[in-house]
Amino acid sequence: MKGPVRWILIALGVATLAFGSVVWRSVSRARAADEPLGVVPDFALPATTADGVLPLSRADLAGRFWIANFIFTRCSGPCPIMTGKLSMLQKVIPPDVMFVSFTVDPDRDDLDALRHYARQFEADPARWRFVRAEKGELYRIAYEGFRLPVMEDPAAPSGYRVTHSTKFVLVDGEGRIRGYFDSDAADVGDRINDALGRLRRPL
Amino acid sequence: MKRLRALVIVLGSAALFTLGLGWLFNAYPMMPLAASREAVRVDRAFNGLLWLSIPIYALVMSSLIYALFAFKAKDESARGDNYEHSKGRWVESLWLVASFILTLGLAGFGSYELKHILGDQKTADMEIQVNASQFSWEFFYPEQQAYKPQLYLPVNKKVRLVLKSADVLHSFWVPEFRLKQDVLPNRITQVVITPTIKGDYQLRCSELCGLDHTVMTAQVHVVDEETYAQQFAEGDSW
Repeated sequence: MKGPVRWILIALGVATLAFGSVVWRSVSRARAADEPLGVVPDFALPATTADGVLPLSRADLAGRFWIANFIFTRCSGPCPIMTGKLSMLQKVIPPDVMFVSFTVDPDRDDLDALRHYARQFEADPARWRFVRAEKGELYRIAYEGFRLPVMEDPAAPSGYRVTHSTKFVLVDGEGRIRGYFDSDAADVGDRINDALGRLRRPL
Repeated sequence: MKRLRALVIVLGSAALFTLGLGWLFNAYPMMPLAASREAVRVDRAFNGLLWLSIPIYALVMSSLIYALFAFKAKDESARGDNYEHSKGRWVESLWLVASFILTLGLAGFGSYELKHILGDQKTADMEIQVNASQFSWEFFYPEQQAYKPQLYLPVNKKVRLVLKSADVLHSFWVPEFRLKQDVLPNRITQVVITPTIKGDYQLRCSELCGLDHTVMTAQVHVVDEETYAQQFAEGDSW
């Protein structure tokens, strides 16, 4: 690259940086403090990794940040996309952050089905658990804990039988909810990492 | 002569394409009525981008389609010889600079409107509390100490809506006002709106909240001050 083109590119780069900083300062708001939005109730449930059965309780997650979501293996809607996104996020989000996927269709998703699903999405067994709670317990955790809806329509076609939220929920080491993230946002990984950065910074 | 002909063909078809798309977007507007001050700003940013994109899109597509036919290689040996001798580098530089300026200009334009919407949120003429729960909305008017199942807003008054959820995540959305705000349990959120056109609108929940999420609606009435005051005259809280 020589002559005028180089200088043009340098000038454009400088202009972009200057412009970006002005715009950022004028539109950025003080971000809402990430104060807790609720507490996930205690649970101790059958669960599996891609390798095999490994139960999970809230106490096992103490001291670690974790990301929760809701899926079912027969889902013909957003679950495969959401799980694919989470699979991708394994490479982006620090390895000490755990992933916990709750099935919302416990009648049909046994641990075998969940393990198969975990393999399909290359879920790292060291950090990603797939949890199966019976319906009563599941609804309690979803509604009272995560404040997210789960509803079943037995008359609906197999892949659409359960409707559920597609949020990723960030939970801290004390089981407190620190943020909800749209799983379909292109920059969801950056948003979660930003929140983690803010939350981990000592006051 | 050949260049002139190419220019006429490309610019001519780009102009026709622009007119056609312009007519289409004008005849079938994409947005509902803009019934708040914030909606006007949102639409200005949206339409600015749209109207600028139309001629650019038309020009790029016309050039592309023209080039596809005009510069088709007659045989294998004729391919790709001429680039080094062409003025391609200057065309590229020009295109780069123009795109940059355009991108920055558009980002500035959008940020300008966003800044005004956000800046305007700091103050308000009045406040109404909005309580969301599965699957209904309830509105508390602190000045009148009254609860109502419908949202009454005086026209041209800047209203701060203080949003709370009793159970799961919900989201406040009146399409005609354009702004959307999540409603969370254990955290208060807010949105400031200045409705500008009297009429009846519908508030919808825009965050999946359960089985009856789709019917979680409420009537929104933008009325003059007199009608607004009448709503509370008999002290009929529900």
